[in-house]
Amino acid sequence: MARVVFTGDLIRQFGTSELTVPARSIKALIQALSQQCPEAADTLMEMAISIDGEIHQQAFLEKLSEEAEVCFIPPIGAG
Amino acid sequence: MSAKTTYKWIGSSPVRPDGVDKVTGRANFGADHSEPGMIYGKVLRSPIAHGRIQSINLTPALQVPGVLAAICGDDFPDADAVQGMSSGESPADMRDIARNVMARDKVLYHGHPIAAVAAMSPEIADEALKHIQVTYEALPPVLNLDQAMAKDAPLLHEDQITRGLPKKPTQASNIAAVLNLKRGDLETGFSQADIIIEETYTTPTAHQGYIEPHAVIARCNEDGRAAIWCCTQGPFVVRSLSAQVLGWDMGRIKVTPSEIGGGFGGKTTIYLEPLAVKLAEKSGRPVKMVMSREDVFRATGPTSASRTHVKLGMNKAGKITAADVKLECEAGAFKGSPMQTACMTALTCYDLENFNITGYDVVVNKPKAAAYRAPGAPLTAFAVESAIDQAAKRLGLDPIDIRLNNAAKEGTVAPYGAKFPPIGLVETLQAAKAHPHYCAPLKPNQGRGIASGFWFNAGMQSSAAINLNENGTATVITASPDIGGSRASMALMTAETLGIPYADVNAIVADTEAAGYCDVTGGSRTTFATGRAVIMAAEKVIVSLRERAAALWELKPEQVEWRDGQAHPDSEASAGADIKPLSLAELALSAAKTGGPISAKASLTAQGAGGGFGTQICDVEVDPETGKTEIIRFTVIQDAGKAIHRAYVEGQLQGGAVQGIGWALNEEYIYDEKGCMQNASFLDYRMPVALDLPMIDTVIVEVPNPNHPFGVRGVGETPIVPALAAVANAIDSAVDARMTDLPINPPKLLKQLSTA
Amino acid sequence: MPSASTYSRPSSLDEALTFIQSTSGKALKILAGGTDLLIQMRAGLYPDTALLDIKNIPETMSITIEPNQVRIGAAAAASEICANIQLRQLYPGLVEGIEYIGSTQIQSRATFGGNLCNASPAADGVPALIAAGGTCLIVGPEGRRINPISTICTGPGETALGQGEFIAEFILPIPKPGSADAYLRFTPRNEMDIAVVGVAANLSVDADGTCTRAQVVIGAIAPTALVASDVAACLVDQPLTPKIIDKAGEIASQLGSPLTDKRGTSEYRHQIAGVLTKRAIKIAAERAKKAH
Repeated sequence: MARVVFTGDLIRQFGTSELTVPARSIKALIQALSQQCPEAADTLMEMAISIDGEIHQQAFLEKLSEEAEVCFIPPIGAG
Repeated sequence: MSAKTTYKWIGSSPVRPDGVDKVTGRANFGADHSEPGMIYGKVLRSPIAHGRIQSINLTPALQVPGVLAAICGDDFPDADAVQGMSSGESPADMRDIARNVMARDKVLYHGHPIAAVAAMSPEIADEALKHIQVTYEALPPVLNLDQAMAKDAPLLHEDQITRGLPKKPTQASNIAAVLNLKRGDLETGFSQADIIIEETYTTPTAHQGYIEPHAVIARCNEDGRAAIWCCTQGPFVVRSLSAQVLGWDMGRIKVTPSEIGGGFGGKTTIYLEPLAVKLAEKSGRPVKMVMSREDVFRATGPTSASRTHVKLGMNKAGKITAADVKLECEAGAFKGSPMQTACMTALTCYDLENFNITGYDVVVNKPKAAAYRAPGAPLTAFAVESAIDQAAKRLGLDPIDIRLNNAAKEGTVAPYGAKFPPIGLVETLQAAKAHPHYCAPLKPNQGRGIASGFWFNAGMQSSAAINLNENGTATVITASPDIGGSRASMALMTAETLGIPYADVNAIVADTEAAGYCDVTGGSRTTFATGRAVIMAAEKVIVSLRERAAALWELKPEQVEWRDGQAHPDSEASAGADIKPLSLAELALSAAKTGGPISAKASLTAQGAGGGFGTQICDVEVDPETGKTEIIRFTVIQDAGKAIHRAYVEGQLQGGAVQGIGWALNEEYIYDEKGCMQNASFLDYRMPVALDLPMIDTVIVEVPNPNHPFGVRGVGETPIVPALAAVANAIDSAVDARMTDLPINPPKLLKQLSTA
Repeated sequence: MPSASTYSRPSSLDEALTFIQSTSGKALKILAGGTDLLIQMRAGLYPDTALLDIKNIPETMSITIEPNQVRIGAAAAASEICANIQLRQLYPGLVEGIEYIGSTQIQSRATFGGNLCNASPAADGVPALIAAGGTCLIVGPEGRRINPISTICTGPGETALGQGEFIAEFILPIPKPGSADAYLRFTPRNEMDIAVVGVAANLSVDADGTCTRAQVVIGAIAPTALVASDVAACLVDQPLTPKIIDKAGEIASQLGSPLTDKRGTSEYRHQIAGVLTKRAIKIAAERAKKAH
């Protein structure tokens, strides 16, 4: 089960800041979340994702461990 | 790999490859390129800060002898139809970029491009601009946060609905987005506090201040393809964004990056490029466009002005019990201030149970903000680090101890929800405390300030190719423009991995046709991500070298080891046989006979960039009669993970600190009530010059990043983050004047001292 | 590129006059270092203007220390002036003033003549030049005349020079024993900046340290550099104690009509005028004591 943490607009769209989702990859996780809340589908693809503390940009095929912690974070610009 | 590994090349400081050309003026920057038959383009810019374009008549300009083309918004595809592909920009952002490079229905800042011409000489082009007839309906300009957020404020974008609110609004607003991060319970937290600091901090609009203005040459070929030469932090981004604004397939555009005279984030977007291509297309000639310094100030992205309200609760022991941060950021003419990253970094140095961070991204009639070195982080760091300093003073506690008391460590959950992997904040604080600077004696009117800061550092996409030459040297090809020594770093990492001398490696920056895809040189990601691609390619080269040696020795590749730049048979295979090792040079020389040229490529989306923490110590002397602040000593201590080229890393630490110092003391955009910038030159936009600063000392802490073969963390951006508060805290320590409104220029400080 | 209608680089004052006469009726600008003029021409301020380059005329380029006067060519470069050890000993404040101007590159072009005749209220070369109490040799179609330096600037960008006239050289007295000058300016940056206020003090003190002569000139607080006679008056016949110097600063801080602009408010300029006046007087006084 992945423990999912939201920030920003996603909290409004999902009605909560935390969820648990059975998913073993980011792809599967986003699919499950998009099904639950279609309005959030685009936002989920845009955001940066932290997987067990490591920030990923353009994450998609990454595998998730049994007790993975996944946070959706606003995308980080480069300067 | 561990922090203690000794390297042959990594961590040294060989002479930089670009140095001689740069100091002798030979280096070719954006404006130094020429094409046969080249003509010159100039931009007509809006004389008003806010208005609707009623009509544009280009015909009189076209009639000026020597003018070959003229364009305006109508020459581009509909801005609302722009798609947005993976250049890091979303579709909505692309529509803003399309409007920003050439105004369509509205002008949104003084300086906004309205039209452009191309002519046989720059003087004729300037003359032609005077003949373009434009009529406007002037609208009241919105020039600061309060004006923008007022009820019934004039709207910049009538369809802009605020994103991020609990309930989606129905009315349009100048507030483009709101972000909220929170944890725990503020009321409980404040009730546990022995003192509460509550203060509002403001920072002005500031420019990245690169010395090289934007410059581009575009040539359109008969086969419908275009070539662009420009100074940029990302040739692939120029290709992608320009193609979308032009409505072209991106395969028709080739971008060659020049040597670059500074970017700091300001050259990760486009301004002139699509205009030059369009003018080249229409005139049938290559078109060169170079911004003046004034153009750069009036119309390229500064970073946002901001207002941060901080309420900080601390107990007697120096533990932060609660923090409430509200940030308002000026995005400029289009949404997209660095509000989100400012919120995400505001409290990230500290392990807090109770906090609330709210950010507002607000549009105003000023140029569209662009990224500037750790975008957003300096804004909130100025506020929070000042507030912590005020708390330390009130409680009589040491400012480093307070930070150690609350410091984020491995396992701390950051305010944006992610748990930290190994990080180096504590190490930088301890190094600061132990540094001789920290206990050096101070004279009257002198003071010392401390501040810490953080930047994520990015990963993103990079590609690299390594070709071995017949003489045993290696060419390393990437499309990462070199803004901070990346060519030297790539060469060092290649030399280390292959085991050949640094002098035998030539690292080059190539164009979008010769190199694999690469995201911008920015985000402090290049040594990390492009470095990883280079190392991967070098490792593949080693696989080939081992295969060639194996074939020559009639062994299996698994029986061949690569050590110290040579192929060696393993202990089993060499037992009893007299096999001499083969050097890279020997294998390269015989490559034709063993299978052909030896080369390899690698590409990746690099994940696991290590966050960079830093702590800075600033000493100032204030002249209490004039309010002038002199920086007398400055030390930057930062976790670099592993410094590949030490002198370049030191240069980044010093450079970031200098920009923060300038921002704190003298830099600001001055606008009149009509929204026209009054100080669009380096004379009155006051950046520090060399004589304004002492030698800035640096300490490189190395807590390795487990996700890079050499432990690299990005270093370029973090050093600007603590500097603003370090200076303000030092001034308060020197003359007991808490300055919460930047810049702390002499008239302002003297006024504060006189009224105290 | 800016262009001139005609350009002449004469090698004598007479040749210069011939050129001036040949351009009579047409627009004419004098080119010394050109550090202001070329910028103005690029901005389109002087289309179709004849240029007279005075950098090849011996009188305008030389720096000569004679027994009873100092002659500084109007087009002598700042770098030459600052390298002249004798001149710096006689007039440290005068040299400090021109030394502040611009960067190392600008220093090889900047001149007293250009700085004075460009007539910026904030010009760094001007206050000490006026405080030195010298005269200038003006050359023109009507002949030559000698006028006090203090009469040249009449307003921002305006001088008392007539059509076709230019300054060939500055003539300064040799300072009497016990005399010295000083110049200080305030800028937000340490270098590469324009003075918010500039103060020149030129004093003589007797063996007891009593001030026998004073001249204080303050730049950037009025349309032209302001000769602060009230400040000078409060110093003369007085020992230069901290109390007297404070009073001088107090008077200075009330003078002029400084503007509020990007570089400082009017209020701030008043304050700084007072502070710099005190400091310049102190430095000049210490130098003067040593110059006996």
